[in-house]
Amino acid sequence: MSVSKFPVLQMADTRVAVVGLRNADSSVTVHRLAQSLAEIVALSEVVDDHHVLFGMKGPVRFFGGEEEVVRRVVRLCRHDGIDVGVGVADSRLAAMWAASMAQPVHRVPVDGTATFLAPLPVSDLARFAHVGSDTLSLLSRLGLGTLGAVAGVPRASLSDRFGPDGDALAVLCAGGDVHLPRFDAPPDAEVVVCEFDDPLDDLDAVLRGIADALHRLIEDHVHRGLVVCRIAVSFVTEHDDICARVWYHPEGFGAGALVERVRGQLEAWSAVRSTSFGALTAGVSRIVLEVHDTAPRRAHQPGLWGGRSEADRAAHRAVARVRSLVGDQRVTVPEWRGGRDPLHQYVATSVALVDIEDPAAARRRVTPGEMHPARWNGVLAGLAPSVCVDPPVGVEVLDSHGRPVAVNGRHLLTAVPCRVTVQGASWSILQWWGPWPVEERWWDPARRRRVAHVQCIVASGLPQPESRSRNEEAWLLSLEQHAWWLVGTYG
Amino acid sequence: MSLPRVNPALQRVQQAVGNHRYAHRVSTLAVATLADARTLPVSPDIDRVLRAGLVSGCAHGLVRGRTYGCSGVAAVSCVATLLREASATGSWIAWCAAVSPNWRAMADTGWALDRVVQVDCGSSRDGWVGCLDALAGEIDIVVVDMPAGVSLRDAQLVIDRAVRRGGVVVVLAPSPEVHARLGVDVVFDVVRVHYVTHHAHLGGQVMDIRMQGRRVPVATDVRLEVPGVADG
Repeated sequence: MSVSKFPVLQMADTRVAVVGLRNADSSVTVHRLAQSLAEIVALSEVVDDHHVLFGMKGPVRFFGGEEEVVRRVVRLCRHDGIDVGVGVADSRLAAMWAASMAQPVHRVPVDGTATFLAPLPVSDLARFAHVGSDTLSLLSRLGLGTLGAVAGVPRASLSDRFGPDGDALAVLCAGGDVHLPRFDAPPDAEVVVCEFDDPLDDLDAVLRGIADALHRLIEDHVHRGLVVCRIAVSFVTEHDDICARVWYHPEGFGAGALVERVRGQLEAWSAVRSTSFGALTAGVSRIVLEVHDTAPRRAHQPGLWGGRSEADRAAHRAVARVRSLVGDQRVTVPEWRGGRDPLHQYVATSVALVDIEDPAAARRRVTPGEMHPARWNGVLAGLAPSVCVDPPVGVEVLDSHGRPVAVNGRHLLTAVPCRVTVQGASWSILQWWGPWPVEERWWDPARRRRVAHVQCIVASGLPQPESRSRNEEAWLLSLEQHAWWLVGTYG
Repeated sequence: MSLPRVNPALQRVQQAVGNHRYAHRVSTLAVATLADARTLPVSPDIDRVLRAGLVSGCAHGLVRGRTYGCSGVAAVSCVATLLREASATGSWIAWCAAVSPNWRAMADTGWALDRVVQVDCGSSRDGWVGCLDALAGEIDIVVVDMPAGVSLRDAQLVIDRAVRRGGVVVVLAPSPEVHARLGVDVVFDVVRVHYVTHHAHLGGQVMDIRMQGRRVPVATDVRLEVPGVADG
């Protein structure tokens, strides 16, 4: 009788997997992803709005290897309609980076994390490690463009120059973690248990119960000069259904932000079908809060003018919540890009790509001349249209004889415009200004652009300039490639 | 489970009332904030418009917990003018309407775009309701319209909930009838616009506005000038 050997498994304690949401599909939130993963891992940690992390030690033992675990994760997510990338590495940062480049899996070899991180650009540290834009800007100006370059600088020098951020940078760039991932409560963990005599069926009631406990817990830590960086929140029903999640934020949670996250956890749990694994089948009878990790509270001195106010913080909380509801792509902020098109000098940028919490960065984003040039010769002067017609609507501009109006080589209209036809409806032109031509990149045949703008006041029905009705509107028309377009209105 | 929170100001008032000879007549005491203290600032021209339409003695400015509506041919320009002072003085604005504003025009009007966020709520009822619930009360001003998939009753409920949480809700609608059905407090219906020429360009707008709504006792016609390049 032969005795088979057990396979040798990779079970480094710090080996972690990060599952990252890749699609901008608004219906898939990180809460739903974490809830789906509950079928494979007992406890997962939500790192941010796109990433869920779990320790590999337990699942590797249970399923028989890293490959098998990630294969099951990918299969499960595909089954649930969630497009993900899975990164496996020895540190949180490396695993997040690997998840972002995974197709759909990227495994960093054991002990190869520092080598993997070395060529990566420091600019992405804002996205993956909450490093401030000022620090990143300074690193770039110092010529430290990659994580490997930063890791080569002595830790004491980084600490001298950047303070606590420098310490964190040294650890992260060397392939370590500022807060080591852990999925069991430390022996000295502070535990708060809320028991309900009558199990709560209404989720709002559960949320009210936990909100009060969380506020007291956070305030208590603040009084001790600490912030809570990692906290496990577990709900237990009278049927012993359990929904447990670890929440992580390197800079510490505010009570409001944590309540919002827990709300998402509860809503995702309640959305699980009753026949599925881990469904909510009875009222909540117990809530357990375990503080896994804390950090010293850094002194925050708001500026005398222009610092962050309570209204700013409330707005940031609301934006975070609405992002989790509709997805990052559908929550946008204006950003100055300049250009000669009066409708696209400010573009809508996804809130995920900019820092709205830093007032200085937000002001730079919208101020002409800060990040992109302010002055553009040839831009349409006068009042800017208040509404963008997106996408532009094709129109016909006709003269008094019903012939199309064009713009000649001398940038003059070929006839006086009298009527505009929009989707079959005819509008009379009462007054017009222009044309205002723009010729861009005339030296480049592939990218050259010739546009003429005309501002006009139009009215539905026959021309009656002496008795203007309320159907009178002001439009901005543009002529490009021999076709007229309605691009904006002064509505 | 929760310990009662002690409000020192409320305690002082309770002590003062408790010593009063008519103290036995006071059954419930709660902290109240007068409407004057809950307003967001408006520019002088909007203040003049509000004074013309509202009952004298009412709080002026944009009162938290009230709804405002804009409709007509230049509704977006009207919203821009209505909110410019509040935006410039630090209020956050969430734009949840389907119409896509030109941020250059908003910046020209005086909006501080670093405190503006635009949310595409989608056309479904759940998306719209969820977004409004998430934003109301946390963001000072929320600009909304009514998607086709949302019933009037749902819209009323959500907007009521939003204003109860202390936000200002501005409703964009194609006509004042929609505002009337929603029970909007103050409606600015732009009935006519005069355009100003400036150096052979369209340089400014002057709006004739009919002001009506639940808190406007008598419909009032007022004129409002939209700041443009002609003003320098």
